[in-house]
Amino acid sequence: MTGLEEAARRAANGDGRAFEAVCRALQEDVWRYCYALTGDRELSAEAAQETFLRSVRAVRRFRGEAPVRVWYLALARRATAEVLRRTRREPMVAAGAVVEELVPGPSVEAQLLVEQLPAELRQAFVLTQVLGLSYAETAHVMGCAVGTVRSRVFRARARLVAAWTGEPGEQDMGEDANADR
Amino acid sequence: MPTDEALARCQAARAWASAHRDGEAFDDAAAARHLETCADCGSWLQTLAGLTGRLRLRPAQQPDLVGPALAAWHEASAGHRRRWMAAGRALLWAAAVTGLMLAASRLVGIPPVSERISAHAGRELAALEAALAVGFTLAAWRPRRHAAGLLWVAVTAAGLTLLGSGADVLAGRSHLGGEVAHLPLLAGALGLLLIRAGGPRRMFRMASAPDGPPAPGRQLPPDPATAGRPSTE
Repeated sequence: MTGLEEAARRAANGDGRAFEAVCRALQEDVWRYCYALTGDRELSAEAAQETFLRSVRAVRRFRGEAPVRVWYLALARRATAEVLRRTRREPMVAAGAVVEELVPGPSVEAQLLVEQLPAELRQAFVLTQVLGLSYAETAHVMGCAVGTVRSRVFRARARLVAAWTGEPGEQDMGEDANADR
Repeated sequence: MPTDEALARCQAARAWASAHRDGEAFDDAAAARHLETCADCGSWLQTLAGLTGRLRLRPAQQPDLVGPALAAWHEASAGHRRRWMAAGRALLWAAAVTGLMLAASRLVGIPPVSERISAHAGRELAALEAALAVGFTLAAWRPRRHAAGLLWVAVTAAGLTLLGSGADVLAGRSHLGGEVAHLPLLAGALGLLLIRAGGPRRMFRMASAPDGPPAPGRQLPPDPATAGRPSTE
């Protein structure tokens, strides 16, 4: 059992310091994922905050069914959905705020392309390529099949390559075309 | 111009390559062979590799998420503790009032002291009961000051009484109704245990801590054992 899983187990038993350690370890991942879900800086801050506030009660029920990082990201997905419902705003892209500290150049352009992916492709891409989750863990967080994750990651890549090279995005075979493979 | 069939083969091979890059695909010799021989797919993979190297998705100025979560955590556990504390104090008040009434009635001879103990021993028993009831009153009134010292006295008295009464009832030397008089002692010990569960841990190490609710949202210093970033692997 890793230190993080052990801390989560102790937080479930009411250990405040362990809860703090878990929050510190996961805040960046949760924030990134919320940003991938909302595409908006203000909304992602609100959603990430909501995630950690919900976890105060929810962590008492954590029994280690999934790794704690996956468990928190699934909680973040539900919290973000609630925040989006509450604010009645559609996910949108506000790339400027996030890339302002990066040096302009090819990296920024590549990042902008990721932010312009459709929300579900962006979500799958960020979970697997940025946060390093396995396809199975990503499926758990997103509440979909592993095949759907595989398809979405590929479609995200195909779109990125097409946008980068300026080709038309003929690679996209439609919604989750390869989900069953 | 590539045919639809050729495009579909490229598409399938690239989908396999995408999962394979992430270590999420079984070996597929046909797809691997296609990728080696198809120039279009080769350049696609090369672009993908170059693009992946450029992706540094690091959002700027992440907000503080830990502080508010910790404040909420401490508020929630303080509410939890307050409920235990309130229940413990209610039990202590009940134990104190009934205990004092019982001791007073024993001192004046109601109910009559059992035939098995002398009037002298009965008065001594009543004095001990009264002392415990006074202790319960003080602990119910100012738990942070008085509960800690009384806890193990009351638990020991209650435990030994329970053992003795149980043995007497089982052996037929006494009946259950006759042991009802011990309920205030049991209630007092239980109330003190509830206060221990509901009070801050320090309360039972530093019995002289001032009364008053624990400061809400106080942040504990980081635990050296858990501070920092544990591995997320």
